[in-house]
Amino acid sequence: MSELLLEIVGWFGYLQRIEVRVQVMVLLLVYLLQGPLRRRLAPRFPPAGKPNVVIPTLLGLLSLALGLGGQPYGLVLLGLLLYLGWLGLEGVRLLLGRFIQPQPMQLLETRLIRPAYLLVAALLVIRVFDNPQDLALIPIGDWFGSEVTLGSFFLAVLIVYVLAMGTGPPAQGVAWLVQRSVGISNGSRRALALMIRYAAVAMGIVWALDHVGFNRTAILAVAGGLSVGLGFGIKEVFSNFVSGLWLLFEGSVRPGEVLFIDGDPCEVRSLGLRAAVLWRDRDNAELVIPNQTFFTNTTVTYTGSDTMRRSQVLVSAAYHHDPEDVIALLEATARGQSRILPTPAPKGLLLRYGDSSIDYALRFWIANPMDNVSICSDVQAGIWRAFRDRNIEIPFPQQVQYRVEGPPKS
Amino acid sequence: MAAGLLLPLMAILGGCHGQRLQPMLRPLEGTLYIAVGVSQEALDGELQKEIRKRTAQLQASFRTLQPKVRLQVEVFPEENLRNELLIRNRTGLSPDVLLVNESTAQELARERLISTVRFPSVVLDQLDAGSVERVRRSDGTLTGLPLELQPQVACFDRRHVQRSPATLEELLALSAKGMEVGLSLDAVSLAWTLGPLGAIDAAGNLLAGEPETTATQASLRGWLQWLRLADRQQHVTFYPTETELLKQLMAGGLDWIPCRSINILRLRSRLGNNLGVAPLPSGPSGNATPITRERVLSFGVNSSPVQRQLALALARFAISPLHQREMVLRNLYVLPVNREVAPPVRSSSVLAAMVEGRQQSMRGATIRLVEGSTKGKREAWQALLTRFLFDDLSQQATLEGLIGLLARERSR
Repeated sequence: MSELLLEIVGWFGYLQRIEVRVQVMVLLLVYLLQGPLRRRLAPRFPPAGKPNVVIPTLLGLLSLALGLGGQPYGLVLLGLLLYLGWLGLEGVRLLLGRFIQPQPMQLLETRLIRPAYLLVAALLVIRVFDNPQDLALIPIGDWFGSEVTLGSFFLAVLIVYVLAMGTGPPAQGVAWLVQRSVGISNGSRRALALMIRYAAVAMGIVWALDHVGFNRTAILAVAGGLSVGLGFGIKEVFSNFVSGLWLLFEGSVRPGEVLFIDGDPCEVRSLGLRAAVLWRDRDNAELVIPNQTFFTNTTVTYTGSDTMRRSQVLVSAAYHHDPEDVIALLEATARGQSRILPTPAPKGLLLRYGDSSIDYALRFWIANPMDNVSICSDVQAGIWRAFRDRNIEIPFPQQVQYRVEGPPKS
Repeated sequence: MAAGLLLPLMAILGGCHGQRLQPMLRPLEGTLYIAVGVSQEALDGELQKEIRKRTAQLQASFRTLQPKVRLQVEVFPEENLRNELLIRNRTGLSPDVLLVNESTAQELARERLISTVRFPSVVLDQLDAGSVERVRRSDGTLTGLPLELQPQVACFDRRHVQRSPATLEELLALSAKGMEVGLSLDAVSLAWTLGPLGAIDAAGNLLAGEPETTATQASLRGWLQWLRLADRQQHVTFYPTETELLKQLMAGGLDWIPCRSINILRLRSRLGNNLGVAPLPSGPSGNATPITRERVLSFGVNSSPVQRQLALALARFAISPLHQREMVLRNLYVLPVNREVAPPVRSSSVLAAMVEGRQQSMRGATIRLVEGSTKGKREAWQALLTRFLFDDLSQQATLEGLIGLLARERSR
């Protein structure tokens, strides 16, 4: 490690050279003075108000001036290229945005594209000051009985990071292919994609440890000791992780499933290592629920074996209407709703004779459990209109109170 | 009272501070960037460690003269050095000193990627005259300062080979008895066989631009015939590079190989006392004609005045008898360029073999041009011989191709 630090400290020795100092000063001055310069030039020449115009122009002109003066200009040019590359990322974002949804695009950009660019930029800067291949061979220490070099360690971390962050789309692609060829459900497809990701990351970690050259026996020994310690120390984390894996295999809580949480249908958005994220339609809230909650508590799901839900609305009609007519009207109203499944057929039921009305229930099946509330609303509105057209009364509760005269006072 | 004590003390301190050394005696201060060029296929962690170790030793010794200097070493594939300097010189970050082959230094100087320098004759007179002549340009400047010589010798595993073969005939005879022989198809590594088989003059003449004759053809044909004869031996194997040979010898897959002296250190770390070193075998037409690699210290173009002063001081220190002797005695397996330093050949058979290898290389001086050839030319040579040994190319076609290559080499 000290060798690496010495190497990095050694780069500052280049500042002994006047040509290097000039280039560094140019870069610093452009960065510091572009703000005041823009403010001064913008009123007269509006495009000069944008940093995207001023910085590259200044860097380009200054590197040209240095080059024409026979002075080294590579550092200024590198600064210009890196800045233009950073601006170019915006174009990449717009291009990919045509094919990728905004949320995955935002994740892709912040977790993969921009970090990748920064990494390439850092390597380019290191490349002019030092030899990256040479640096890669610097030992950073003896871990688990083997000498770890900077290059192997960096590569191992990079591969694991890329696998963790970048395997989402490929895994989804493979799962989609499996769905097309085998015909699994959407929930199974999402679960399969997640499992492929976990498998890829796990293999990546094993490869990384092997690539770095760790002694496998030492790793096993350390893992054994750690597992006991972790079992006591952060058992909740492990419990949630294992629960998550179990639920994934079991298939009861998978992305896309609809569960009943506190009386509301919620859709599972993701099943993470620690917790599941569910979306509640009612108020557009996201619920983060630890995995072990599903593992130990009863879970009500509408998407276990199929996605259909049987729903019902309650309605009352006056006593003087024939129940058979009312039931037929209710069933006809339900059949007229496009989002109600024709089979199983909607069913009207006479539930009971109430105090002021006969109570009916209309039961029907819908395809998407998350649409229950809106479909119920539509059906009830339809019933109101049908009752109005057929002059069927929905009576108000009526109560007649009689005053009873008590016995004569003695 | 306090003021009475403080004033003289301050006067003393001020006086000490004010006594500045004369500029000539003042130690120079700064970081010196050293680029070491090595063959692409030989570059690995072990070699890098070796180079860093050598630099640390050089820094420790040099600090006796310049205590405030720091050496920062970078290792580059020598084949990529030209492109590397093209970029670095434009950024102002070129190395101050380059340790490269003499042929590479010539090429870099031709393209003005390094600075040529002048050294006083009192410095150059200490050095091997031939080496100095090879780095001297027509305007009298030098492409670099010769530092060390790396001759080619025979390296073998004593557990399987009691004595290194003295002749090519003996080499094939021992291989017939089971000795695993490895040869490289690389032009520089294989050039040692030209002399014993009588092809050295033919190659030299072609390289010198002389027209081909029937004698030229006959001697090169004889050389090709021997290569094919050797290849047909069960225990003789041709490999593309010397690095492969080294790996095989260390792994026990080979018993005898030609090797560059600088690689002895690595072989010794693996084989210990089982490593044998001897001169390369002679043949019916004479001694072996190996190529001795000459390493030179060249100078970058972006150094500050202090860095340039330090670089020149380092170069002078590196060729001083003190350092050259230390270099030889520390078993670094290179020969000194300083004539005042005589390698102790009586006490070391390895050094004796290296000196012998050096002597052999001086006899076929024209073949040194092969070393200066481009990577593309050497690859063409290798491809030609590989196709020949795999019977993909007839002997006549190979001969014509070889003559064409050698003749073009000169006209380049």
